[in-house]
Amino acid sequence: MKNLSKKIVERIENIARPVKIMHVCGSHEHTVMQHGIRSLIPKEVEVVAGPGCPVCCVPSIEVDECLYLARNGVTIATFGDMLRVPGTTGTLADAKAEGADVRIVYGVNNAVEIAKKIDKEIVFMAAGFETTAPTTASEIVAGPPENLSFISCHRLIPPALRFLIESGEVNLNALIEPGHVSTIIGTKPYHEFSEKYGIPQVVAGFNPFDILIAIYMILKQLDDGKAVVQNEYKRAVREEGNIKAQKLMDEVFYIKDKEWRGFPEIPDSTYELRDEFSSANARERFDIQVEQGEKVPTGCICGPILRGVSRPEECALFKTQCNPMNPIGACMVSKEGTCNIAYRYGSAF
Amino acid sequence: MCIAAPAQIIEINDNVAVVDFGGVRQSAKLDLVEDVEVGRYVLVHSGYAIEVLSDQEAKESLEAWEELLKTLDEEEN
Ligand code: SF4
Ligand code: SF4
Repeated sequence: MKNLSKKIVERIENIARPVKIMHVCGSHEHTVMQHGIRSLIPKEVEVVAGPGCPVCCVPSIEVDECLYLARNGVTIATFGDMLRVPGTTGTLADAKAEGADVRIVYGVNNAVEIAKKIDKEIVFMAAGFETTAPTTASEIVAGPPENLSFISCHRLIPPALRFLIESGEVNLNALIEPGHVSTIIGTKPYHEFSEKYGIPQVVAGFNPFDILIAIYMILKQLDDGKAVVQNEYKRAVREEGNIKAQKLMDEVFYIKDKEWRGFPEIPDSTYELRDEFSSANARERFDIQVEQGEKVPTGCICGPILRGVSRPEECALFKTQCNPMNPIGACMVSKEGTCNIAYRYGSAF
Repeated sequence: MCIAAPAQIIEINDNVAVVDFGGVRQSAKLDLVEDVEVGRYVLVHSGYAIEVLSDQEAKESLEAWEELLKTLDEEEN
């Protein structure tokens, strides 16, 4: 074990150079922090976390939509982490404490099961990147119970990458692409970033060896003057991805510009239900009244953290007022949030 | 949130399988995969199989990483 990581680290040391490598995956950040990867490799090889958690990335307005429904007698079903993500008028956990019917589910199939058992309206708050979006699509195509509708908060990774690269704010030189998003979308959507911007990319798995090898592969590309997309996670990612899942997503969703938490509107970055499925779209079924506008808790720097320009340690509230028991910003809520992970595994600096 | 883990299919009833994660059994829907049968490994995410794995691929092995490293080394020459 030790031997293998030593071997990889040696190779990294041999060709290390100043470089900023971004990953966009909460599970990657988890591996990086848990195994102290930043301290194993030379300082000039910087690994930064981008918008890696689809819970953290849901903006206030989408939480507000669900809060409006929950407070008006509609049952909300969603993933556990979503309950504590702040909207402008509280969280779904607050609504639940006030008496609203908010249910935690492990997958959209659980929401279907609940809908069959109750006779009131129930809305599934569908969060998640491309990994999760096909599960929602499959239930919509299968024909959900009449009383079940959906609020799509599904987001796409490649448009966020494009936005980050083009904004130039982070100055990233290379990307580690998320393993399970890539299981669905394959490796093709990443090619434009290598071709157009000369960015080396490696799709990586979630074991510390996967991450170390990915870092080595990126450095090796830079050393050889190459910029291509390589797949380190062949055991779960095919070049073409999961075509059946892609077809289902395409059948159910169209792609729409929308804001993310910490970002302005990102072009072509979210999935919304097509008109054919408008009867299953909660945004069509209900007259949801919410006000536009993001209210960031005072002092919280989740925005720059999600964009990869700041680290949690730079936030004055980190560990003092803001902790996993009492999260102030979205990045502290989910176990894959950068602040939450930094809190649990300590600083890497 | 899109954590996914490999599991072996133990039983299939229509589009739902019982899968085994090294001792822990759960159900997984099969709507997103093709060509599955009892005994095969799948990658499971939030109650759905999202990819079929080869038996070899399902096991994370040190040899596989060693192998990859070797291939990378050979590229150099
Ligand atoms: S949802 Fe996917 S991309 Fe996001 S943290 Fe989880 S594994 Fe990574
Ligand atoms: S530590 Fe808390 S308040 Fe500060 S950026 Fe992170 S989530 Fe926001």
